Amino acid sequence: MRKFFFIFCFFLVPLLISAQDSVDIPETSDDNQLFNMNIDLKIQDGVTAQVVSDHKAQHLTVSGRPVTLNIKGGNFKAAVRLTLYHMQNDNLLLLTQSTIFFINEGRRQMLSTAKSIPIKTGEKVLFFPLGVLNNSEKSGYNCMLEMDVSRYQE
Amino acid sequence: MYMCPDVEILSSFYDDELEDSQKQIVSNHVSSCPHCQKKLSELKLISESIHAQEEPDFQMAQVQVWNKIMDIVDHQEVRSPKVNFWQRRFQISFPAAAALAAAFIVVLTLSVFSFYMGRHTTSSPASPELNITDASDTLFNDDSLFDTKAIEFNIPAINTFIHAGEPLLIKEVDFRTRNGKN
Repeated sequence: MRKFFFIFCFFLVPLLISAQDSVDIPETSDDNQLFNMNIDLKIQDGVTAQVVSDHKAQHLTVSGRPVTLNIKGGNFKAAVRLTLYHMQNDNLLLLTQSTIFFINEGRRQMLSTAKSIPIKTGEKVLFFPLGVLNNSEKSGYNCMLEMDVSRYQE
Repeated sequence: MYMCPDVEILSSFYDDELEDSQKQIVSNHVSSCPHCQKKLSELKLISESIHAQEEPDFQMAQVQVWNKIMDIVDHQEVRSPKVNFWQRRFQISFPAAAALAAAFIVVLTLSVFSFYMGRHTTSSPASPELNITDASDTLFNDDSLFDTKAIEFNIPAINTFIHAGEPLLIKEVDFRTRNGKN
């Protein structure tokens, strides 16, 4: 029994620990390729889908370096970090991390999330930090970040 | 009537170990007692047979005993069977065993503790929302939480934003398709 315990400790436990680290994470490219991130913040009427406010920004970044946005509205503040990871060729991974402070009918909330999506250069991606209004909502606005990434060319 | 002396006295008489007075009395008695004469002759025979035997050689015997012991030791060393790993007995010193036992108890305690703590934390609502009570005003008005080097977007103060749910990250193509279906 004692021998089995030793075998468990010396072989099985390290095996279990190493198994936790064996998640297959693709290696990111270590090149210093510059990417141009086009960001378009749109405030859209939830019912008519009309854009009532439009803010554009452009930012140069490299793989792994986050681009941070501060969005301040009437009843919410959001800090959004957008991080690009260059995988292979035109394949990228976009990671969005958001922390939102929100006041609605006197109720205060903080929401913190992280989401990622594989994209290709030139592909448009939408991010709704406050979620998307349902069609049944009779009033309200969608806060939408429209993004696309392209390689920087001099 | 003079009684016959016992065997010990006769043996002492034969070995010439009696005092002169006693020796004279016993000698006088033996000369007239056929029973004691017979006893004396038996003692004489015993003594002669003992002296006739060779004195044992103790040194030789000692050497023989040592040789036998060494033979047994050599024999055992050669014939000691190979013990299987699973049948081999391991000896662990007491401090090592105590340390192992203590480590095991600590790990077990931590495991049980973390298990119950985990159960308590997972029992909270699965919603990603975190309600802030008293500190919320401070947090909401504290701009130091925001990166000063970040790109700033100041939206017109429209107080009709609704927290519609979890943040959504989606490709535009997929979003249009989804909305088209709806």
